[in-house]
Amino acid sequence: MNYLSSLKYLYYPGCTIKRDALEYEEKSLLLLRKMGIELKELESWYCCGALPSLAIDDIMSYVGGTRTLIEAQKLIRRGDFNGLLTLCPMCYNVLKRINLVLENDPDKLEILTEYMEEEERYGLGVNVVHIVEVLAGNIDRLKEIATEKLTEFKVAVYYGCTLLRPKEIAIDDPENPEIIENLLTSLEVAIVDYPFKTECCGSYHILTNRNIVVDRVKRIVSSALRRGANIITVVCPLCMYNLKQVVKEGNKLRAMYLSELLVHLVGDR
Amino acid sequence: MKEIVRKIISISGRNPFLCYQCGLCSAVCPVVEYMDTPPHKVVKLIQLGGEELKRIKSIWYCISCMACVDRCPRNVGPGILFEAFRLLTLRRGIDKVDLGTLENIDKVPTIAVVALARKTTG
Amino acid sequence: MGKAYEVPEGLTIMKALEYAGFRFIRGSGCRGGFCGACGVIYRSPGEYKLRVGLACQTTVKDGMHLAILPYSPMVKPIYRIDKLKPDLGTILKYFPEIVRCVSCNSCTKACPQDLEVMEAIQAIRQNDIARAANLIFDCIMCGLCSTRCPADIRHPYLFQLVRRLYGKHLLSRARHVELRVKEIVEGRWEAEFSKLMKMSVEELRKLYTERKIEGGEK
Repeated sequence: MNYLSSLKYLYYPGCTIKRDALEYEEKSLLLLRKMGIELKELESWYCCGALPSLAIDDIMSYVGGTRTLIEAQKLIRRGDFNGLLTLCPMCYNVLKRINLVLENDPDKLEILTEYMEEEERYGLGVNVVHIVEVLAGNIDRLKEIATEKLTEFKVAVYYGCTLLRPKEIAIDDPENPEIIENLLTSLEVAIVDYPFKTECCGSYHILTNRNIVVDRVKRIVSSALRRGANIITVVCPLCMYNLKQVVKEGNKLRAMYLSELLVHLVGDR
Repeated sequence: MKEIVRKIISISGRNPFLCYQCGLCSAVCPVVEYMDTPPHKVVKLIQLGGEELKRIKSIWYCISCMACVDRCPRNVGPGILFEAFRLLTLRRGIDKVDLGTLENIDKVPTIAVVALARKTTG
Repeated sequence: MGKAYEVPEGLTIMKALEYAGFRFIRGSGCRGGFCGACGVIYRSPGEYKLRVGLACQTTVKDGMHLAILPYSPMVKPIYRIDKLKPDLGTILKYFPEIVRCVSCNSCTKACPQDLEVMEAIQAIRQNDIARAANLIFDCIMCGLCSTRCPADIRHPYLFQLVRRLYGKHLLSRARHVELRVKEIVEGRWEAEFSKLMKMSVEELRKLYTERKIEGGEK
């Protein structure tokens, strides 16, 4: 794709972005707009389910996500969109896995189509992308608008689980992801390497076993601190919430969404 | 084969008998220290199909992070067997967590509540 | 109701049941399709679909099988509406089961009011209380959707809470109503009221038919 060509994506916000991560949305949309990447929010969308069912016979759990993919399909037919973009990695994970399951198992698609008689058939092929992929794929555009230098930042990147596992839908090498580090390095941001960047934060145990989350996050955070980080950057609203159980205002380490960090670089604080 | 084992296999689509007990799943599990039975041992118990299977609580600590599934050298995918195991209970309409009693349900990100509900209520 | 009855053609299910000898003590209210008390489920010959309707609004068909479902059992939550915030967090406190929605659309198919029930649930999930309230404004709380919901969502009281949150916290206040209520409380209309109270029925009727209607021609 030519650098100057227009880039247009459909946008699936998901429940959490619209309630618990409004600042993540605001900074992400601002950043993409400055990069000349256009977004169109889906007119209607449905709960993806956050974590996909791992059973092979749980077709019902694909319904919500498939409805969203069908909404995207309708809009893609009318407009020239490069895919369906998500900010929330859990949404990315679920939609991508539904695509994968339905591609590999036409019988499941058949059952779903039959069941959703009021909807058109899902023809597969809606390209689901996460904002990190779009940012990494358009580093040139970012470089163009990055006017500031963030010399005081030493960034530990925290990926979490859902962008990298299962490996079939990973945005990078799940054992040693570097996509965000490479992005930041090319923008001259100092990176801190540490061993826990793909370690689970404890996820939904925040509701029932908060101590598990606190233990997990302490391990992640203290490792990043020991290696000299003063920023830990995340892309998931649940990771962010869980990290903030330990990382508090005024600490040596600050938790920051990747979009927020990049917005600093383009001089829009 | 015991009915419970047959069911776990048919829901998960995975073959627990391929496991050769390397223990990698337990090594990479982020919540293994809270479990009563580590993942590799759960797989062994499934192979044996004994009564103690019904008493395992580990499956409710697993958060489907997929760390063990991706790394399993025998493609057994303990996390996927765990899901099938959970569904044996949930598909009878039994809830493992009462959503109505969660203190911070209105404060945590919505995805946490959705994920918990999908994995622990039937 | 599991037994065959012969009834005249063209009756509503409610009237047909009465014709057959049933007496409605519960499960019947306005008989005009508004109160939601007479939910009914039925199947027609040659169909696998379980259909729903209101007994007072649905006409009988030859060979149909039916059962009256006047109510979907659920405990009414108690809250102080002025103390609640109009957002998803509040709703999760009282109706956490809405996170279990899988968008199966069974609720929409079951709605005798033709409401977009699933869209409303999803709007709540998207923290858009105002959109949800508008989508389910015409809900008559018959509970048919709840009986079909695989997520066990308690729609009637959930939607009641949504409408109340919307009305109390999100809808702009009607200034003219507040003004009029104040006038009534202050006794401004007492003289008028006592004049009306003393009038004969004929005088009242004349006054009523000749009254000026807001927005009317005269």
